[in-house]
Amino acid sequence: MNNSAVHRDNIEEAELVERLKRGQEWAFAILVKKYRMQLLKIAYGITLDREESCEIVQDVFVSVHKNIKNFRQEASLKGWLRKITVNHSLNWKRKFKRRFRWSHTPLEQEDEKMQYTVQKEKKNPETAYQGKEFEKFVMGRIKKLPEKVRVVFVLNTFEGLSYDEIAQSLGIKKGTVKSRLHTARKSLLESIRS
Amino acid sequence: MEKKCSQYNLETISAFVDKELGPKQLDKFACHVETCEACRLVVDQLQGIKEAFKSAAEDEMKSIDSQVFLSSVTAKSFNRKPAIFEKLKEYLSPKPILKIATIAVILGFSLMYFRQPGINGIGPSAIVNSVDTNMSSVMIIETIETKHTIIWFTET
Ligand SMILES: [Zn+2]
Repeated sequence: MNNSAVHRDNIEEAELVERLKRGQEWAFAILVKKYRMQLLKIAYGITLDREESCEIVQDVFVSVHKNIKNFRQEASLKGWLRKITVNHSLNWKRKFKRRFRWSHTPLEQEDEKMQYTVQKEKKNPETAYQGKEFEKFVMGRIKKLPEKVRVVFVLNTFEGLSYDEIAQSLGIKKGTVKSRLHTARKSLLESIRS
Repeated sequence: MEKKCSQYNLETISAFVDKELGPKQLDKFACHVETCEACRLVVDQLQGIKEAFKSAAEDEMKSIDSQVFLSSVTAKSFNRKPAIFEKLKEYLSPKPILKIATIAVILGFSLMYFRQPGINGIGPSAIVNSVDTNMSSVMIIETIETKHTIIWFTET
């Protein structure tokens, strides 16, 4: 990568927004490069569907390109992108389609297989809650959480947002954030305690 | 059976993991967790769950090719779209008269779809394609028994 490309990658957010408003394609490429992974993870955390997440985030960028003129400079670009991604992920038409897809993709023979037992004698307690086996188990359980609970859990886990920030971002009360997080954790903890 | 802490509940431990405890509470709990096995276990489990979720999402999303993604999203944004679906979109654009027609069509197709014997319970095998506009959507669904079924629905 040459120096000017590096310079372009580091361009300040305000300048990036300015250039996006002018419709510059390379600015758009920087935007995509910078936020793609972050937004994909949010979408995946909510939908738990790879193809769907990819489509959602593509739509987010298309929508940003279309609506960047309405973006107020004092707002945070990251927050704006996050909000659009959450909204797209929760869109009812998408959910409808997803339900069709899920209904046809047999969920793994969950309950029998999904018993995670920590073999305390064999495993070091520090590594008991790590590894692919544990990951698979956790994902199976996360899929069972109500979507509104999962959204809060996603913003907490992937974005590291405070309770106040999550509340603001979703337009709900801080108490609701706390109780949804509590629901998620209680349910996940119960499932790993055999 | 796991030990339970008599001093702290899950809410406080959660707040600790989320860095949401006030300075006083944080000091107290940080000292407590050093000596309480039950609380330490919950902290480990909560952090383990967080990491597992993050890592699973990261792995899954890493497999999406960044170049293909960029080309596709750039093409969509800068109007280099496949012509056939654009035509269909144009046709479905929100004209008042079409709105009524669409509702009728949705009802018609839905009734036909769900009345067909043997369809209920089978479920579609794939969504072949779909087009969304501001007011209506078309989904082309393939089922095991029928070749293609189109469902229209509208947002009012
Ligand atoms: Zn304790």
